[in-house]
Amino acid sequence: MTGTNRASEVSMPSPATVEVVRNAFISGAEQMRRNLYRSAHSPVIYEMKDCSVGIFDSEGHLLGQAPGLPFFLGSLGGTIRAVIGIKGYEVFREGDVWIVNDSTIAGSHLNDVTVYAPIFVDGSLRGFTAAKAHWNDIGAKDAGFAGDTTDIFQEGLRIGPTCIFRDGRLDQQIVDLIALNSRFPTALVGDLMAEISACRTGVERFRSIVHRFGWDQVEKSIHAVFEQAEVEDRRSVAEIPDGVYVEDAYLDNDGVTEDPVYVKVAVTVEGDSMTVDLTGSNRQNVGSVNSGIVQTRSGIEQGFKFLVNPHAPVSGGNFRNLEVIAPEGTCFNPSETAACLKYGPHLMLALDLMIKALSRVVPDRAAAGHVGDSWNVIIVGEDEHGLFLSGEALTGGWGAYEGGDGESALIHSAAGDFKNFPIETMEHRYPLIMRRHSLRDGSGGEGKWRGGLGIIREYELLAPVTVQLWFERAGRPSWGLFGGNDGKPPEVWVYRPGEPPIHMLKANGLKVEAGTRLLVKTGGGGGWGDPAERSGKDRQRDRRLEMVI
Amino acid sequence: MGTRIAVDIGGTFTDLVLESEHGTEVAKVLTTPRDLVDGVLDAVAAAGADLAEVDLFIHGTTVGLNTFLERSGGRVALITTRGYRDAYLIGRGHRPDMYDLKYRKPTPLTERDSIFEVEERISASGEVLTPLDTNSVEVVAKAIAEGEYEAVAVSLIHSYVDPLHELEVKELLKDLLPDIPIIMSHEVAPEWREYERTSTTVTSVYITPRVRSYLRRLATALTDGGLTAELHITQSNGGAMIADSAADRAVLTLYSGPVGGVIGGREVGRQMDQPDLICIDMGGTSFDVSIVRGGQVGMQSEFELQGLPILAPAVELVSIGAGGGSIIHEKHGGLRVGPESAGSSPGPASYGRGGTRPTVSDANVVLGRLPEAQKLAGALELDRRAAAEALESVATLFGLSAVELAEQALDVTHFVMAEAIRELTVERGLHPRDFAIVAFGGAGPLHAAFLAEELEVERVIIPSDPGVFSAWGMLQGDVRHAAVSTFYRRLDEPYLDLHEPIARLKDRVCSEMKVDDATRAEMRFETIIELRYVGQEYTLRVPLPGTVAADDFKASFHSRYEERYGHCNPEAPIEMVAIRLTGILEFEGGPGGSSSTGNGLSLEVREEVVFDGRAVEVPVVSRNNLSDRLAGPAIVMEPSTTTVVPPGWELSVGPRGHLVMERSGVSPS
Repeated sequence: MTGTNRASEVSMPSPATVEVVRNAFISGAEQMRRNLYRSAHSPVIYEMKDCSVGIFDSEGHLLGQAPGLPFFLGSLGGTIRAVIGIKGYEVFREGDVWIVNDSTIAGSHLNDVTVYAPIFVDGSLRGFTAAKAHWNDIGAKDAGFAGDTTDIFQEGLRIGPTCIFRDGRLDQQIVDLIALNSRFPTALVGDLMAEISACRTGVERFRSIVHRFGWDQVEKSIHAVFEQAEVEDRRSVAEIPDGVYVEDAYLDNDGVTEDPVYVKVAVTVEGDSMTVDLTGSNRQNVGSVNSGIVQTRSGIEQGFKFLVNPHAPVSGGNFRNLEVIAPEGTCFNPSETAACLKYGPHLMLALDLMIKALSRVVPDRAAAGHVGDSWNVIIVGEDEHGLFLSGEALTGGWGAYEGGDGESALIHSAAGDFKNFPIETMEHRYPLIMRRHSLRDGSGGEGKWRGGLGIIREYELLAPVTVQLWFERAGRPSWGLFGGNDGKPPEVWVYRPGEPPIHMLKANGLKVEAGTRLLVKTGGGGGWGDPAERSGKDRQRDRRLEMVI
Repeated sequence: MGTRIAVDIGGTFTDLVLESEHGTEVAKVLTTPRDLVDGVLDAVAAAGADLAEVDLFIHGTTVGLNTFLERSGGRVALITTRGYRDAYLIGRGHRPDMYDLKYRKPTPLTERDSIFEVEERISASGEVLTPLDTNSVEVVAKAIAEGEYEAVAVSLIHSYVDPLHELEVKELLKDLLPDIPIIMSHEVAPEWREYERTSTTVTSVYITPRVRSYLRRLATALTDGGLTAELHITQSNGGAMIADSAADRAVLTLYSGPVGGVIGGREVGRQMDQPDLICIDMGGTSFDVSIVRGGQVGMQSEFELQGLPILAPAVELVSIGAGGGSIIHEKHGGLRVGPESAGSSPGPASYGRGGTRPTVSDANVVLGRLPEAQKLAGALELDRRAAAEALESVATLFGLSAVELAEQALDVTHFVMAEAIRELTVERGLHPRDFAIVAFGGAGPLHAAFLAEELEVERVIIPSDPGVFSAWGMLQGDVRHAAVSTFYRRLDEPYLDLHEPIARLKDRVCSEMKVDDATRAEMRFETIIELRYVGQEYTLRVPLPGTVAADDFKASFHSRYEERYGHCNPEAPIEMVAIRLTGILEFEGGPGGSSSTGNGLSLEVREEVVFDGRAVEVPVVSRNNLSDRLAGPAIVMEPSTTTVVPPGWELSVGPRGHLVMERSGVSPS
């Protein structure tokens, strides 16, 4: 290839070499992702996409990534940097694969297990590949995703940075140790092997790129790629007027106490840089609404990405003009033993508040409030094959924006290419009948542009099971902007046979008998602009399609 | 042997290939967008064919696909189970463009006020939980009758387990709505997953009115012209079916057009004794890759069109937006090629239609690989100076010359194209170097050797008559009909008898193909079992092993899983999800290949062409004039395409007029 030949004669890589290297890392990560999706055992990975993969340089800077969950945008690089900070570089050997899940290192809950592999080329450590994926059970106090833990020891097995593959051999003892701590050991081993396989795919890819161009050319190309991304981010932020934009709001509670969880976000734009300061937000919560600093930074990077070049691929050159301040001892940077199982709700609120804050100055990049929470319905029980677990996050309405109504029935912001489960599949696997699966008419906030609709589902349980519920943002539902109305908040009703219905938004270990029905209504998105300005045509369409009540 | 005709309709040209004992005739006429039937008749006339003598008439139609893409289909009413009116609108709730706050779902093919519910419910195990309430059907029928619908889709929950209620609904509707086509989900896609099955059914119903009307007009016109043989339509899976079946299963024709090339590729491979092929088809806007392995075309059982899922067997194509029109530009200091395309209007700068931004075609022109003498689309005069100026405007941003930029941009393009090929090979445990490339489409042969270098492929084949390759390919297929049955069982459960469900599928296939017992005896059946580890979603397609013992399934599954993913888990339980059976009836063998017809080009000149930064004088030869081996660098021209033979490659004329390019020093097999 011509780019190579010429490039080897001079020190700077040709534009073609830089572009090929850039593409090679992006497609290398895509390849890792496809490999992980297709060979993973648990729907939470291949359907809910609760995972992320990436290729990094030896300092943990991103070369190419393919997140399943946008929320994990920056979390793998942060994890690798944290690991290097603890272990140094000398512990790594060629062919190694390592594993870690501790929340102080990886940022999210213990169920998210990161597998990473150092990449050696000609004896030198040149980079890492990493895959992070959610495992259904890592030995927490209850099966499923308990919403009432109060310290990390109740949340499962903590794994510090541990080598599980060396000299061509898997350390079966460690795998057995981990599997022994899970209620679903078979799926766990399958998912672990899928992550290892994805990492090794990435290692091969990295080595083939270096062999082709030589490390010197690759290294210089990487820097050129980083520079391109940084320029792009800085140009975009520079277009936002300078200023300090502050927003705050509350979550209903942390799942354990009754107290609301306060989140405050101050976005400072100065020239081509942005600072997001979470100072003033809640102290570390008693319940598990806490996120390690690596995940906090990752979530804020996602908020930034919503607002700055949302369609461009991400590399280690991005987010260099973003500073995140999360004081120690807050729910965004808690102590080592803090419960972290629900690491998302306050962080999703923070990134929504970033969008709201900047909507005043760059309304064309913003939208009104949306879903904003994972809205989990988790059903645990036993059948002839043993324990089963159905874990779902439900869709809801998204916020309207200038020029368009909000989309209906979409998954929340922290998840992206997440697919809900087909009901025919659920009814095959679990003892339930879904009596209703519909849009929730009238749930979108009115406005010149209407918020999207939430959904209604009615589960009829055919066997005694245990139910967990997590529904947030009832007290502060998706907000309207510029005069638009708020969307409707979520509602959950439990109908036990022969008893009046009970409304409950959160539940843990709720044992219910066969014949119980759950009626679940998720929230709608916020409206945008004064409802009086909605066009006659749009009103007529809303009525014809019964989108409003 | 009798006379066989295939007709392929493209955006610009309608191509016809006729095979008979006298050899092969081809015709290329202008497509007639107002009524495509006219173009078909023009092509028949141009080839001087006597329809009364024709034994087999095959047609690849893009009417279904275009109806979908243009959103010009019928007004569709959808009938579903009470409580599920919105299942089709909700979809799977995902946001593939994950950082877009303004993400919109794919636009559905019918609206909420056209979706109706009936009272009924069948469980996952096929038990009737609520019998069909005929009253509710009557209410719906009345609303549909008043709504001026052109077609009705019926998709009830768990109908793939037991179609009882769908059949009852159809029976009632037939009387209440006598003039409207009614199509049931269990016939179109008898597979689980309500959204995907409904989407497939609605899509099929949506395109049905136009597909039906087109096929009827075509059949009538051909019959009037003397055709007595049955009209066959190519399906997305590469096989043909009779036009009547296509009218009932319009969704199976979505890729009817593009698959001809792949089937042709397989046949070329057979003629050249080359069972493993990478087929590349490159035109102005896209680059499509498909794989033939062991003489079998790679298939997929579902795909997406503009984000809407379709459960229907189709040739597996990876398509990327890289074509001759891809724009070369600078972004944040980096070199980019595409994804924007100049398309055909304004087109590349060298086309002289007002395009000013440099494209991949312009790069080829500047490097001399597309000689000015080449007339694209039969008429254009290429403007080398305009191409150079366009490239110059971007090249200066990098401190490069136009020629340097052209070569570098093609390096990037070749890499991106190679990545698409790696997705279908390397990621499945296959090595591209074990394959040969078959290149067609206007731009395929221009780039094929460079791709081969990128992928360490040793051999490239440029089929004869690449300009009508897709039509020729259609004649090289067979008649096939596929059926699927969702069959959900764990392999660790007490052993199950597959003979009965397979026998039932065979009966269904034969009855749907309307074949008699004598024909049935000549047919071949391929059975694929979809297996996965318990708890997984994606399945692996495993051909039915020699015996149907569970251990054979397990062994076959584990080894395929290992090949594909590099690991497997022999301890984990496996489940069976579906049985897919295809009935295949071979066409009578034809002469294959084609006599090279006169193409009006006869030249041998020398032109300056740039390879690896150096301009060299190379021979530019008309394909007609090729006789012996030709060492690269060289350019071979014919009306529909240009083949570049880079330095280090050697070209020869293979069996049946196919061109073979091999790296020098590699002896021909």
